[in-house]
Amino acid sequence: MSDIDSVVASLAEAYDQIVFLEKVAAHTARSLRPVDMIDLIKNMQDFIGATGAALNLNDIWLMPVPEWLLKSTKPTRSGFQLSDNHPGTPDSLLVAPFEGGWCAFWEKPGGFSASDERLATFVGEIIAPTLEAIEFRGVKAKAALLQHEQALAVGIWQAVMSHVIDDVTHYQLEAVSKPAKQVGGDFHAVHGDWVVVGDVSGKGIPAAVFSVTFVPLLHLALQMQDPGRALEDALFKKLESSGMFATLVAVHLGASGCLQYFNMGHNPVLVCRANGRVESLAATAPPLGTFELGAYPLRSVQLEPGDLFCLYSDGLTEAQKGADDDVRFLGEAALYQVLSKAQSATEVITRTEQLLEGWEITDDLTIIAGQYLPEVL
Amino acid sequence: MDVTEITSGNGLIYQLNGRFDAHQIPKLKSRLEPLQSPVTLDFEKVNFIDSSGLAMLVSLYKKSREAGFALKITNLQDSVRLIFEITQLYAILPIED
Repeated sequence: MSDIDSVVASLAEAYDQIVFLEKVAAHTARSLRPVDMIDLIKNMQDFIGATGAALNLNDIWLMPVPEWLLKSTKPTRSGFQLSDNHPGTPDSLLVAPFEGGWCAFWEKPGGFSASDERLATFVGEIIAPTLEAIEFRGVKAKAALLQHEQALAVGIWQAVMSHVIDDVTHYQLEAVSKPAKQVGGDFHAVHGDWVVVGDVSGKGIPAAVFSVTFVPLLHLALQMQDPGRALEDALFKKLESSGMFATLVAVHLGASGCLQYFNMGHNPVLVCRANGRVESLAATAPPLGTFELGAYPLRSVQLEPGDLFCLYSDGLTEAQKGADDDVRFLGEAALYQVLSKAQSATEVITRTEQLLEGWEITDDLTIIAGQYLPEVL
Repeated sequence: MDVTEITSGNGLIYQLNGRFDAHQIPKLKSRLEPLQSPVTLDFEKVNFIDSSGLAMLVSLYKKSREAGFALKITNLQDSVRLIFEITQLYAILPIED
């Protein structure tokens, strides 16, 4: 071959390589799945004229491979042989490792050239980031799915935790509930003549899993002779084994003004009399999930027409100002002031919301205010 | 929350400093569990405890009884004592105040 023929042949080969690389670049830009990487290797195989080709990603062969290749370990650098030469390994071999895998080509008539090796190395170098991009897309897809599932869970929680409550015969009731996150551990419900406010320890999804369980369970438990015992039977072990507990106060509003209650470690029920005096009805038992009592007898107070009462969660009294050593909590006394000045359940809620302006609410917040109005309702 | 560990003749004393809330639980659990000796939790510099903190103390108290080691909670600030009292846990947990 003359010098001119040699130069022309080299130029032709360089042109073919440029055309191939253009195809590789276009292919890579479209690559979304490992199968696209397999196509790339097959194109490379056709281009360089190898009889066999294979691609290994993350220690898995994505194409059928001969026994000798199956037994071979990933080479540390590109070249024309493997460090462990198993029986059947062809004389004509080209391998190229890359981050996350390696590729192999074998049995090319006339043998592989240095230019073939450069191409194989190049293909490996573009597969590595493409593989990373595929994995990243997978992570993003999973994150999007998780976000969708969380949105569904929030929707379910909010549907169960309806903020609208019905009045009880002879009682006007008003409620406000604000979880610290999208969902929370506070729950409240009105079932028949019963009004309940509770709080599962912790915040966010772990607490919400239990709080959403309480509402339908309460419906059944409040029909039992001892609702506290029914809740204990249903939930104590589950809460205890989860390292959690729930505080809960349930009041039964009798048509004659008799308010009966049991309180599992929850904030006290506050009762405000017509003269503005506030009575605090403290917890009658420890939180559910801490210590089993086996029985939860009801206690009672007599309401007079016009008397107000309030059930609330600690998100209210633990609203805070300042930070660290200088932190100040709203406390129960402020709520006494609100109750003693309010004339109706609606006014209790309105005044409490005004009171909270300028305070940071760090926990789930629930308030139910009520008024005994036998002449009106 | 800062935790200072002191070895005494009656086991370990942990002086706690700051808020005892949900964010501190993993760190505290890894420091305190499993119980290997009698433990005293000094709350003198704890200015707040939330429900997650209370739940952890209840769990720790039960584990201490199972392990046969005494647990003591001491030096409550008024604001923290009030939370124990509201929940009725003041009378049940081993508080020396």
